[in-house]
Amino acid sequence: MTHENTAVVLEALRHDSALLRALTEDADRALDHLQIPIGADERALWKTLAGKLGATASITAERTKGIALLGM
Amino acid sequence: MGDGERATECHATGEVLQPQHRVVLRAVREHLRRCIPAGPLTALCERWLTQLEDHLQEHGSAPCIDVPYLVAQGLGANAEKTRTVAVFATSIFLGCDLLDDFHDQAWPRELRSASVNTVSLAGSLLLSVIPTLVIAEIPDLSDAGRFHACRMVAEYLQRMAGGQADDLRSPWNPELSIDATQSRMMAKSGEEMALFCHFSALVTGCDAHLQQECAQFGREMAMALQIISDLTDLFEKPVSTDLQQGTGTLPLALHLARLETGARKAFCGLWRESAHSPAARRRLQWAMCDSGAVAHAAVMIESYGERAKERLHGLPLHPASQHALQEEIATLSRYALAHLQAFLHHEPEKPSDPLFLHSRTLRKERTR
Repeated sequence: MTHENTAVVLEALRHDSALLRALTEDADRALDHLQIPIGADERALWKTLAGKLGATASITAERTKGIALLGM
Repeated sequence: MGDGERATECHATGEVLQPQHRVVLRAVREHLRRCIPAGPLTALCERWLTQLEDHLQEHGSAPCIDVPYLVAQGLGANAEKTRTVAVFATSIFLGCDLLDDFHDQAWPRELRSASVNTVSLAGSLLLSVIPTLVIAEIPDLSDAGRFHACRMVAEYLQRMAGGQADDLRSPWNPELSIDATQSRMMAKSGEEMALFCHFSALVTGCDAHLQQECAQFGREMAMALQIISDLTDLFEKPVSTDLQQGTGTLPLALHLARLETGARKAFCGLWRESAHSPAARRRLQWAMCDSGAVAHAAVMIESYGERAKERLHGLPLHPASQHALQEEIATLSRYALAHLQAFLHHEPEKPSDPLFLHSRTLRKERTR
Protein backbone atom coordinates (compact mmCIF):
# COMPACT_ATOMS: atom_id res chain seq x y z
CA MET A 1 0.00 0.00 0.00
CA THR A 2 1.46 3.40 -0.90
CA HIS A 3 0.63 6.28 1.38
CA GLU A 4 0.43 8.70 -1.56
CA ASN A 5 -2.30 6.63 -3.23
CA THR A 6 -4.24 6.28 0.02
CA ALA A 7 -4.16 10.05 0.53
CA VAL A 8 -5.39 10.67 -3.04
CA VAL A 9 -8.22 8.11 -2.78
CA LEU A 10 -9.38 9.48 0.58
CA GLU A 11 -9.42 13.08 -0.66
CA ALA A 12 -11.29 12.10 -3.82
CA LEU A 13 -13.89 10.10 -1.88
CA ARG A 14 -14.41 12.89 0.60
CA HIS A 15 -15.08 15.56 -1.99
CA ASP A 16 -17.07 13.46 -4.43
CA SER A 17 -20.09 11.75 -2.92
CA ALA A 18 -20.91 10.13 -6.28
CA LEU A 19 -17.47 8.52 -6.29
CA LEU A 20 -18.01 7.26 -2.74
CA ARG A 21 -21.33 5.74 -3.79
CA ALA A 22 -19.71 4.27 -6.91
CA LEU A 23 -16.99 2.71 -4.74
CA THR A 24 -19.54 0.79 -2.70
CA GLU A 25 -21.37 -0.33 -5.88
CA ASP A 26 -18.46 -1.17 -8.19
CA ALA A 27 -15.12 -0.66 -6.48
CA ASP A 28 -12.97 -1.62 -9.49
CA ARG A 29 -14.67 0.93 -11.74
CA ALA A 30 -14.48 3.69 -9.12
CA LEU A 31 -10.77 3.04 -8.55
CA ASP A 32 -10.08 2.97 -12.30
CA HIS A 33 -11.84 6.31 -12.58
CA LEU A 34 -9.18 7.87 -10.33
CA GLN A 35 -6.45 6.98 -12.87
CA ILE A 36 -3.74 6.32 -10.31
CA PRO A 37 -1.49 3.23 -10.27
CA ILE A 38 -3.21 1.16 -7.59
CA GLY A 39 -1.52 -2.22 -6.97
CA ALA A 40 -3.39 -5.50 -6.55
CA ASP A 41 -3.10 -5.59 -2.73
CA GLU A 42 -4.22 -2.00 -2.47
CA ARG A 43 -7.18 -2.64 -4.76
CA ALA A 44 -8.18 -5.67 -2.71
CA LEU A 45 -8.08 -3.58 0.47
CA TRP A 46 -10.27 -0.84 -1.03
CA LYS A 47 -12.72 -3.44 -2.29
CA THR A 48 -12.99 -4.92 1.20
CA LEU A 49 -13.42 -1.46 2.69
CA ALA A 50 -16.00 -0.53 0.07
CA GLY A 51 -18.00 -3.65 0.93
CA LYS A 52 -17.91 -2.80 4.62
CA LEU A 53 -18.76 0.85 4.08
CA GLY A 54 -21.65 -0.12 1.84
CA ALA A 55 -22.97 -2.72 4.28
CA THR A 56 -22.72 -0.62 7.42
CA ALA A 57 -25.07 2.25 8.07
CA SER A 58 -23.27 3.89 10.96
CA ILE A 59 -20.75 2.87 13.54
CA THR A 60 -19.95 4.96 16.55
CA ALA A 61 -16.48 4.98 18.05
CA GLU A 62 -18.19 4.69 21.45
CA ARG A 63 -19.06 1.07 20.78
CA THR A 64 -15.47 0.15 20.13
CA LYS A 65 -13.86 1.85 23.10
CA GLY A 66 -11.56 -0.09 25.37
CA ILE A 67 -10.22 -2.51 22.79
CA ALA A 68 -6.73 -1.10 22.61
CA LEU A 69 -4.78 -2.14 25.63
CA LEU A 70 -1.14 -2.64 24.85
CA GLY A 71 1.83 -2.61 27.13
CA MET A 72 3.53 0.37 25.58
CA MET B 1 -12.05 -15.72 25.05
CA GLY B 2 -12.68 -19.43 24.56
CA ASP B 3 -16.36 -19.59 25.42
CA GLY B 4 -18.25 -17.23 23.13
CA GLU B 5 -21.53 -17.47 25.05
CA ARG B 6 -20.01 -16.64 28.40
CA ALA B 7 -17.91 -13.86 26.90
CA THR B 8 -21.06 -12.22 25.52
CA GLU B 9 -22.70 -12.41 28.90
CA CYS B 10 -19.72 -10.73 30.52
CA HIS B 11 -19.69 -7.96 27.90
CA ALA B 12 -23.37 -7.36 28.53
CA THR B 13 -23.10 -6.98 32.29
CA GLY B 14 -19.73 -5.26 32.17
CA GLU B 15 -19.05 -6.39 35.71
CA VAL B 16 -18.18 -10.04 35.75
CA LEU B 17 -14.59 -11.15 35.42
CA GLN B 18 -14.40 -14.03 32.97
CA PRO B 19 -13.31 -17.32 34.55
CA GLN B 20 -10.19 -17.54 32.36
CA HIS B 21 -9.09 -14.06 33.39
CA ARG B 22 -9.72 -14.82 37.05
CA VAL B 23 -7.53 -17.93 36.83
CA VAL B 24 -4.73 -16.02 35.10
CA LEU B 25 -4.76 -13.11 37.55
CA ARG B 26 -4.71 -15.53 40.47
CA ALA B 27 -1.73 -17.37 38.95
CA VAL B 28 0.21 -14.11 38.44
CA ARG B 29 -0.49 -13.13 42.05
CA GLU B 30 0.78 -16.54 43.21
CA HIS B 31 3.99 -16.02 41.24
CA LEU B 32 4.44 -12.59 42.80
CA ARG B 33 3.92 -13.98 46.32
CA ARG B 34 6.48 -16.71 45.65
CA CYS B 35 9.05 -14.21 44.36
CA ILE B 36 8.91 -11.37 46.87
CA PRO B 37 7.86 -10.72 50.45
CA ALA B 38 5.04 -8.23 51.07
CA GLY B 39 6.27 -4.65 50.79
CA PRO B 40 6.43 -1.68 48.42
CA LEU B 41 7.41 -3.89 45.48
CA THR B 42 4.38 -6.14 45.95
CA ALA B 43 2.14 -3.10 46.39
CA LEU B 44 3.37 -1.64 43.11
CA CYS B 45 2.84 -4.85 41.13
CA GLU B 46 -0.54 -5.37 42.80
CA ARG B 47 -1.61 -1.87 41.76
CA TRP B 48 -0.94 -2.70 38.10
CA LEU B 49 -2.67 -6.05 38.40
CA THR B 50 -5.73 -4.33 39.88
CA GLN B 51 -5.70 -1.83 37.03
CA LEU B 52 -5.72 -4.70 34.54
CA GLU B 53 -8.45 -6.46 36.52
CA ASP B 54 -10.59 -3.31 36.39
CA HIS B 55 -10.08 -3.09 32.63
CA LEU B 56 -11.05 -6.73 32.19
CA GLN B 57 -14.17 -6.25 34.30
CA GLU B 58 -15.21 -3.19 32.37
CA HIS B 59 -14.41 -4.34 28.84
CA GLY B 60 -14.36 -8.13 29.12
CA SER B 61 -11.11 -8.53 27.20
CA ALA B 62 -7.52 -7.41 26.80
CA PRO B 63 -5.90 -8.39 23.48
CA CYS B 64 -2.43 -8.88 24.97
CA ILE B 65 -3.79 -11.71 27.11
CA ASP B 66 -6.67 -12.98 25.00
CA VAL B 67 -4.93 -13.25 21.62
CA PRO B 68 -2.05 -15.52 22.78
CA TYR B 69 -4.50 -17.44 24.97
CA LEU B 70 -6.77 -18.13 21.99
CA VAL B 71 -3.82 -19.07 19.78
CA ALA B 72 -2.59 -21.58 22.41
CA GLN B 73 -6.07 -22.95 22.95
CA GLY B 74 -6.66 -23.20 19.21
CA LEU B 75 -3.42 -25.12 18.75
CA GLY B 76 -4.65 -27.70 21.24
CA ALA B 77 -3.01 -26.59 24.49
CA ASN B 78 -4.65 -28.00 27.61
CA ALA B 79 -5.86 -25.81 30.49
CA GLU B 80 -2.47 -25.84 32.22
CA LYS B 81 -0.60 -24.76 29.10
CA THR B 82 -3.07 -22.05 28.14
CA ARG B 83 -2.77 -20.69 31.69
CA THR B 84 1.03 -20.80 31.36
CA VAL B 85 0.84 -18.77 28.14
CA ALA B 86 -1.55 -16.24 29.67
CA VAL B 87 0.56 -15.79 32.82
CA PHE B 88 3.67 -15.30 30.68
CA ALA B 89 1.94 -12.70 28.47
CA THR B 90 0.28 -10.93 31.41
CA SER B 91 3.54 -10.60 33.30
CA ILE B 92 5.43 -9.12 30.33
CA PHE B 93 2.49 -6.89 29.43
CA LEU B 94 2.33 -5.53 33.00
CA GLY B 95 6.10 -4.99 33.11
CA CYS B 96 6.03 -2.96 29.87
CA ASP B 97 2.97 -1.02 31.00
CA LEU B 98 4.49 -0.19 34.38
CA LEU B 99 7.80 1.09 32.96
CA ASP B 100 6.04 2.98 30.18
CA ASP B 101 3.66 4.70 32.61
CA PHE B 102 6.59 5.57 34.86
CA HIS B 103 8.40 7.22 31.96
CA ASP B 104 5.23 8.98 30.81
CA GLN B 105 4.61 10.19 34.37
CA ALA B 106 1.14 8.66 34.10
CA TRP B 107 1.60 7.49 37.66
CA PRO B 108 -1.18 6.87 40.22
CA ARG B 109 -1.29 9.49 42.96
CA GLU B 110 -0.89 6.98 45.79
CA LEU B 111 2.33 5.67 44.22
CA ARG B 112 4.07 9.00 43.62
CA SER B 113 6.48 8.21 46.47
CA ALA B 114 7.71 4.99 44.80
CA SER B 115 11.44 5.20 44.20
CA VAL B 116 13.11 4.60 40.85
CA ASN B 117 14.72 1.53 42.44
CA THR B 118 11.36 0.06 43.38
CA VAL B 119 9.96 0.69 39.90
CA SER B 120 13.04 -0.84 38.23
CA LEU B 121 12.84 -3.90 40.48
CA ALA B 122 9.13 -4.34 39.80
CA GLY B 123 9.83 -4.07 36.05
CA SER B 124 12.63 -6.67 36.30
CA LEU B 125 10.38 -8.98 38.25
CA LEU B 126 7.58 -8.81 35.70
CA LEU B 127 9.75 -8.79 32.57
CA SER B 128 12.43 -11.23 33.61
CA VAL B 129 11.90 -13.23 36.81
CA ILE B 130 8.32 -14.41 36.30
CA PRO B 131 8.70 -15.23 32.56
CA THR B 132 11.86 -17.24 33.32
CA LEU B 133 10.08 -19.15 36.10
CA VAL B 134 7.15 -19.80 33.75
CA ILE B 135 9.54 -21.22 31.14
CA ALA B 136 11.21 -23.40 33.76
CA GLU B 137 7.81 -24.85 34.65
CA ILE B 138 6.33 -25.44 31.15
CA PRO B 139 4.99 -29.00 31.14
CA ASP B 140 6.46 -31.49 28.62
CA LEU B 141 9.30 -29.30 27.36
CA SER B 142 12.87 -30.60 27.00
CA ASP B 143 15.85 -28.78 28.51
CA ALA B 144 16.89 -27.79 24.98
CA GLY B 145 13.37 -26.40 24.45
CA ARG B 146 13.61 -24.36 27.64
CA PHE B 147 17.00 -23.02 26.60
CA HIS B 148 15.57 -22.10 23.20
CA ALA B 149 12.56 -20.37 24.87
CA CYS B 150 14.84 -18.30 27.16
CA ARG B 151 16.94 -17.17 24.24
CA MET B 152 13.87 -16.36 22.17
CA VAL B 153 12.38 -14.23 24.95
CA ALA B 154 15.65 -12.34 25.40
CA GLU B 155 15.84 -11.59 21.68
CA TYR B 156 12.27 -10.30 21.53
CA LEU B 157 12.76 -8.14 24.64
CA GLN B 158 15.93 -6.73 23.08
CA ARG B 159 14.00 -5.65 19.97
CA MET B 160 11.18 -4.21 22.09
CA ALA B 161 13.66 -2.23 24.17
CA GLY B 162 15.23 -0.89 20.95
CA GLY B 163 11.84 0.28 19.69
CA GLN B 164 11.00 1.89 23.00
CA ALA B 165 14.39 3.65 23.13
CA ASP B 166 13.82 5.04 19.61
CA ASP B 167 10.42 6.28 20.71
CA LEU B 168 12.00 8.43 23.40
CA ARG B 169 14.78 9.81 21.20
CA SER B 170 13.25 12.77 19.40
CA PRO B 171 10.07 14.22 20.86
CA TRP B 172 8.00 16.72 18.81
CA ASN B 173 10.00 15.84 15.72
CA PRO B 174 8.84 17.84 12.65
CA GLU B 175 10.72 15.38 10.39
CA LEU B 176 8.81 12.39 11.72
CA SER B 177 8.51 9.94 8.81
CA ILE B 178 5.80 7.35 8.22
CA ASP B 179 8.24 4.52 7.50
CA ALA B 180 10.44 5.17 10.53
CA THR B 181 7.37 5.42 12.75
CA GLN B 182 6.05 2.11 11.47
CA SER B 183 9.43 0.43 12.06
CA ARG B 184 9.46 1.73 15.62
CA MET B 185 5.91 0.52 16.20
CA MET B 186 6.82 -2.88 14.84
CA ALA B 187 9.82 -3.13 17.17
CA LYS B 188 7.98 -1.80 20.20
CA SER B 189 4.49 -3.29 19.97
CA GLY B 190 4.65 -5.73 17.08
CA GLU B 191 7.40 -7.72 18.73
CA GLU B 192 5.50 -7.82 22.02
CA MET B 193 2.45 -9.57 20.53
CA ALA B 194 4.71 -11.62 18.22
CA LEU B 195 6.52 -12.90 21.31
CA PHE B 196 3.26 -13.90 22.98
CA CYS B 197 1.93 -15.75 19.92
CA HIS B 198 5.32 -17.34 19.22
CA PHE B 199 5.40 -18.52 22.82
CA SER B 200 1.89 -20.01 22.44
CA ALA B 201 3.09 -22.04 19.45
CA LEU B 202 6.28 -23.11 21.21
CA VAL B 203 4.47 -24.28 24.34
CA THR B 204 2.08 -26.36 22.23
CA GLY B 205 4.97 -28.08 20.43
CA CYS B 206 4.50 -26.55 16.96
CA ASP B 207 7.34 -26.69 14.43
CA ALA B 208 9.55 -23.69 13.71
CA HIS B 209 7.56 -22.65 10.61
CA LEU B 210 4.25 -22.57 12.47
CA GLN B 211 5.89 -20.71 15.37
CA GLN B 212 6.98 -18.02 12.90
CA GLU B 213 3.51 -17.86 11.31
CA CYS B 214 1.94 -17.35 14.74
CA ALA B 215 4.52 -14.65 15.51
CA GLN B 216 3.71 -12.85 12.26
CA PHE B 217 0.00 -13.02 13.03
CA GLY B 218 0.80 -11.40 16.39
CA ARG B 219 2.79 -8.62 14.68
CA GLU B 220 -0.08 -7.75 12.34
CA MET B 221 -2.63 -7.74 15.15
CA ALA B 222 -0.35 -5.55 17.28
CA MET B 223 0.15 -2.98 14.52
CA ALA B 224 -3.61 -2.55 14.12
CA LEU B 225 -4.02 -2.38 17.90
CA GLN B 226 -1.20 0.15 18.30
CA ILE B 227 -2.76 2.53 15.75
CA ILE B 228 -6.06 2.25 17.65
CA SER B 229 -4.20 2.89 20.90
CA ASP B 230 -2.58 5.99 19.35
CA LEU B 231 -5.94 7.33 18.14
CA THR B 232 -7.56 6.58 21.50
CA ASP B 233 -4.81 8.45 23.32
CA LEU B 234 -5.12 11.40 20.97
CA PHE B 235 -8.92 11.67 20.85
CA GLU B 236 -10.53 9.92 23.78
CA LYS B 237 -8.32 10.04 26.86
CA PRO B 238 -8.84 13.01 29.19
CA VAL B 239 -5.07 13.56 29.16
CA SER B 240 -3.00 12.45 26.17
CA THR B 241 0.30 11.04 27.41
CA ASP B 242 1.59 10.84 23.83
CA LEU B 243 1.04 14.58 23.35
CA GLN B 244 2.56 15.35 26.74
CA GLN B 245 5.67 13.32 25.91
CA GLY B 246 5.87 14.51 22.30
CA THR B 247 5.72 10.89 21.13
CA GLY B 248 5.73 10.61 17.34
CA THR B 249 2.79 8.31 16.68
CA LEU B 250 1.62 7.13 13.27
CA PRO B 251 -1.42 9.46 12.98
CA LEU B 252 0.93 12.40 13.59
CA ALA B 253 3.42 11.10 11.01
CA LEU B 254 0.56 10.75 8.50
CA HIS B 255 -0.49 14.35 9.16
CA LEU B 256 3.05 15.74 8.91
CA ALA B 257 3.50 13.93 5.58
CA ARG B 258 0.64 16.06 4.21
CA LEU B 259 2.34 19.34 5.10
CA GLU B 260 5.07 21.43 3.50
CA THR B 261 8.19 22.27 5.53
CA GLY B 262 6.90 25.63 6.81
CA ALA B 263 3.56 24.18 7.80
CA ARG B 264 5.31 21.28 9.52
CA LYS B 265 7.19 23.65 11.80
CA ALA B 266 4.02 25.58 12.55
CA PHE B 267 2.18 22.35 13.29
CA CYS B 268 4.95 21.27 15.67
CA GLY B 269 4.28 24.46 17.63
CA LEU B 270 0.65 23.45 17.95
CA TRP B 271 1.73 19.89 18.84
CA ARG B 272 3.89 21.20 21.72
CA GLU B 273 1.18 23.57 22.87
CA SER B 274 -1.41 20.78 22.87
CA ALA B 275 0.58 19.01 25.59
CA HIS B 276 -0.76 21.45 28.15
CA SER B 277 -3.60 23.32 26.42
CA PRO B 278 -6.99 21.60 25.85
CA ALA B 279 -7.87 24.27 23.25
CA ALA B 280 -4.67 23.55 21.32
CA ARG B 281 -5.38 19.83 21.57
CA ARG B 282 -8.81 20.40 19.99
CA ARG B 283 -7.24 22.37 17.14
CA LEU B 284 -4.68 19.62 16.63
CA GLN B 285 -7.44 16.98 16.58
CA TRP B 286 -9.40 19.00 14.03
CA ALA B 287 -6.31 19.47 11.89
CA MET B 288 -5.61 15.78 11.83
CA CYS B 289 -9.20 14.85 11.01
CA ASP B 290 -9.48 17.48 8.31
CA SER B 291 -6.20 16.59 6.62
CA GLY B 292 -7.29 12.98 6.24
CA ALA B 293 -4.51 11.70 8.52
CA VAL B 294 -6.98 10.05 10.91
CA ALA B 295 -8.91 8.42 8.06
CA HIS B 296 -5.56 7.29 6.62
CA ALA B 297 -4.68 5.75 9.99
CA ALA B 298 -8.06 3.99 9.88
CA VAL B 299 -7.25 2.56 6.43
CA MET B 300 -3.99 1.27 7.88
CA ILE B 301 -5.84 -0.40 10.79
CA GLU B 302 -8.01 -2.11 8.20
CA SER B 303 -4.95 -3.09 6.16
CA TYR B 304 -3.18 -4.70 9.13
CA GLY B 305 -6.45 -6.29 10.26
CA GLU B 306 -6.96 -7.86 6.81
CA ARG B 307 -3.40 -9.15 6.77
CA ALA B 308 -3.93 -10.66 10.24
CA LYS B 309 -7.16 -12.27 9.03
CA GLU B 310 -5.44 -13.80 6.03
CA ARG B 311 -2.62 -15.12 8.22
CA LEU B 312 -5.17 -16.47 10.70
CA HIS B 313 -6.86 -18.53 7.97
CA GLY B 314 -3.56 -20.33 7.40
CA LEU B 315 -3.13 -21.28 11.05
CA PRO B 316 -4.37 -24.76 11.98
CA LEU B 317 -6.49 -23.58 14.89
CA HIS B 318 -9.58 -25.16 16.38
CA PRO B 319 -12.69 -23.55 14.77
CA ALA B 320 -13.86 -21.99 18.07
CA SER B 321 -10.53 -20.18 18.49
CA GLN B 322 -10.50 -19.18 14.80
CA HIS B 323 -13.94 -17.68 15.25
CA ALA B 324 -13.03 -15.83 18.46
CA LEU B 325 -9.90 -14.35 16.85
CA GLN B 326 -11.89 -13.32 13.77
CA GLU B 327 -14.22 -11.50 16.15
CA GLU B 328 -11.22 -9.69 17.68
CA ILE B 329 -10.23 -8.55 14.18
CA ALA B 330 -13.82 -7.53 13.38
CA THR B 331 -13.79 -5.28 16.46
CA LEU B 332 -10.66 -3.53 15.16
CA SER B 333 -12.32 -3.12 11.78
CA ARG B 334 -15.43 -1.52 13.33
CA TYR B 335 -13.22 1.04 15.02
CA ALA B 336 -11.49 1.84 11.71
CA LEU B 337 -14.82 2.13 9.87
CA ALA B 338 -16.18 4.54 12.49
CA HIS B 339 -13.29 6.93 11.81
CA LEU B 340 -13.56 6.47 8.05
CA GLN B 341 -17.28 7.17 8.05
CA ALA B 342 -16.74 10.27 10.15
CA PHE B 343 -14.22 11.55 7.60
CA LEU B 344 -16.24 10.70 4.51
CA HIS B 345 -19.65 11.85 5.70
CA HIS B 346 -19.15 14.73 8.13
CA GLU B 347 -17.37 18.02 7.78
CA PRO B 348 -15.77 18.67 11.18
CA GLU B 349 -16.58 22.03 12.77
CA LYS B 350 -13.84 24.45 11.80
CA PRO B 351 -12.06 26.39 14.54
CA SER B 352 -11.05 29.96 13.68
CA ASP B 353 -7.34 29.44 13.99
CA PRO B 354 -5.05 31.28 11.53
CA LEU B 355 -2.21 28.81 12.05
CA PHE B 356 -4.43 25.98 11.08
CA LEU B 357 -6.00 27.59 8.07
CA HIS B 358 -2.49 28.39 6.86
CA SER B 359 -1.38 24.79 7.04
CA ARG B 360 -4.60 23.69 5.34
CA THR B 361 -4.02 26.07 2.47
CA LEU B 362 -0.52 24.74 1.95
CA ARG B 363 -1.78 21.20 1.91
CA LYS B 364 -4.40 22.00 -0.70
CA GLU B 365 -1.86 23.76 -2.89
CA ARG B 366 0.33 20.70 -2.73
CA THR B 367 -2.57 18.44 -3.70
CA ARG B 368 -3.27 20.56 -6.76
